Amino acid sequence: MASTSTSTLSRKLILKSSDGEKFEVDENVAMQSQTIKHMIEDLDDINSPIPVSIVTGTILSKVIEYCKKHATEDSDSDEQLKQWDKEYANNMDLNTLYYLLLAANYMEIKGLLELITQCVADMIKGKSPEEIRAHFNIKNDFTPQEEANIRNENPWAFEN
Amino acid sequence: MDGMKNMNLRKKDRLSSLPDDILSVILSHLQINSVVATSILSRRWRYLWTTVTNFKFEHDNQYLSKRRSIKFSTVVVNIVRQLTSQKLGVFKLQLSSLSNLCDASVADLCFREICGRNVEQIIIEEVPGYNNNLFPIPAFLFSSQNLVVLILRGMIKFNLPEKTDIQLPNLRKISLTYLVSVPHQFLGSLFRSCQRLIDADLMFNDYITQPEPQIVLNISGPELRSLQIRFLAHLHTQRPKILIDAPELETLYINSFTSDYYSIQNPAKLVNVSIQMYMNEEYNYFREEDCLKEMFKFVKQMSSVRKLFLRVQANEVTNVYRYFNSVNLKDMTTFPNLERLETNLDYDDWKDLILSMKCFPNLRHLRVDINMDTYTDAMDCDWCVPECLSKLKTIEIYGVHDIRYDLTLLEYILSNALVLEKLHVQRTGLKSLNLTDNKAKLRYFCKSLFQLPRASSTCEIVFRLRGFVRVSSNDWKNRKVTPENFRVI
Repeated sequence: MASTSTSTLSRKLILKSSDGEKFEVDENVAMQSQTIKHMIEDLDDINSPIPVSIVTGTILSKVIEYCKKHATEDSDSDEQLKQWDKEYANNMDLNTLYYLLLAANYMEIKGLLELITQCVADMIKGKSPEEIRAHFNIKNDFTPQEEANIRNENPWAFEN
Repeated sequence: MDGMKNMNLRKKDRLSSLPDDILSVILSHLQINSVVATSILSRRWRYLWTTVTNFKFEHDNQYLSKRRSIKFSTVVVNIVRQLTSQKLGVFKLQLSSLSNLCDASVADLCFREICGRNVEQIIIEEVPGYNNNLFPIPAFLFSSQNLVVLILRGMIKFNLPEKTDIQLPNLRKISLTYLVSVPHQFLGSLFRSCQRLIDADLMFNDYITQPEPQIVLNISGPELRSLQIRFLAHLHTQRPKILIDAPELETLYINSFTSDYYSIQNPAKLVNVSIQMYMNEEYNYFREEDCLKEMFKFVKQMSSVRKLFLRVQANEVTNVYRYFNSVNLKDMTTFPNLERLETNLDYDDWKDLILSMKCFPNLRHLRVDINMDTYTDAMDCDWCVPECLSKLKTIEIYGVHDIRYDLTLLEYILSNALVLEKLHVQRTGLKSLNLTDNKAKLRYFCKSLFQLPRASSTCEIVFRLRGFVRVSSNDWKNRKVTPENFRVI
């Protein structure tokens, strides 16, 4: 996983996860994160590890997997890339999806945030409010009367 | 795995613990009714829905019932008003009736709300789009500086003052279907103001109902790649001139009554061209001949084209190919890239088509629809063998009905097409196979067809009578089909 056969021209960066794990990645892979891009600009020593403070090693490795795939522009067609994205997202359990969301948001990786938010949106899609609550363990803290009142504000939204 | 997931989640509602901005992105992927419905999940979700940056009300496969469409059209403005985001990415409505939105004051309010939020994409579609309700579009829509995509489908009526200020510097795609009484000057200034446009699709419901003044539509786009122009009007009283100045144009689709098209510059990047012209019986004081000539001049410039679809429906003349032949070969533009040609012809026009093939030296696929009810007294195939006939891989001929002449023609093609892989022949004009007489005629025709000498020994001939019969010469040869036993579909 760690070894890549990319050109020697590309600079290497070291990313350090919140639990201290270090990842060596090509600069163009890491630069997909706007946050890291900005950090590098302010950095004096490119060789010192860049802390990605809120992301654990497990999650960071998954983020890097995504960025690597999307850094190589010409190898895959749009269609193939979409298929890869789909499989990538489908292989994550809900827990991982949440941490990936936080990571993509913090690291400002637009494509990844788009992909995972769409994946969660697909879980909400087509479900009744009761089913959504059950799926995501959302506790209904409205009184029945309150809930009825809110429904009445936009009754059309609850029709099928 | 599923069990694990549930175990983890039973303890904690992680979704609700995500920050507002991430939840807002998640909700922005959903249809607006699902978005609003999340307001009752819990207190955490009570007002999250108002932060979405997209407004989408669409249906994947089938369109909404009329009742729900009408109902929704009355609440749409109210919902948009509750959104707190000052930026709107997509505003998309697909309804079976725009109903209440066809009220000018409601439409005005609606567009004011979405344009006020710097919307990037407006897609409003009424399906089916052809009805009596006019959808009034306010003038200020055309000064939405952030607009990138504008798709309106319905009976669109612009409410425009004499001079409309158009400022759409970021517009990349515009599609306006069923334009009703659009002011003449407007479209020219629209294109002038949208210099970054890539894709334009205009469909006119009634454009040319006045004999005067002469309508000149200037379409200019330095980045324009795809252009579609369709005229529906039956009430043509003049021939509008359409001037196209789009050096990057790759795809051109024209479906019109008698209008003349001109390229300002040679469209050197054109790849796909489809031209369908319908001459109007009731207004035959345009000389069909003149219209065809103008069209030929226009087509002549498209020397880069790879795929050409050319169809003319007229009372008298349909043949554009004789113009190709009338021009001295020295001065004639050839179409070296043309691989696929689809067209329609009278029987008499075949000669012109075959002869004009010298202009299409690399044609690989040819489809011809023979016009209904065009008989000829005799067909002598005493034509020269053009180079491209020997390069053709597939030929499809639709609408054969006169057996003797068809065979003469098909014999000519088969004996000259050296590398032909497939010849499709589709017959029309037979209502039913029940008549023994017809069956016998068909059998005889197939037999004669399959026995014709072929210059390309591997060529498969497929004969079809739509809905009834499909016979391949290969099956015939392998005795899968005997003359007495047609495969009836």
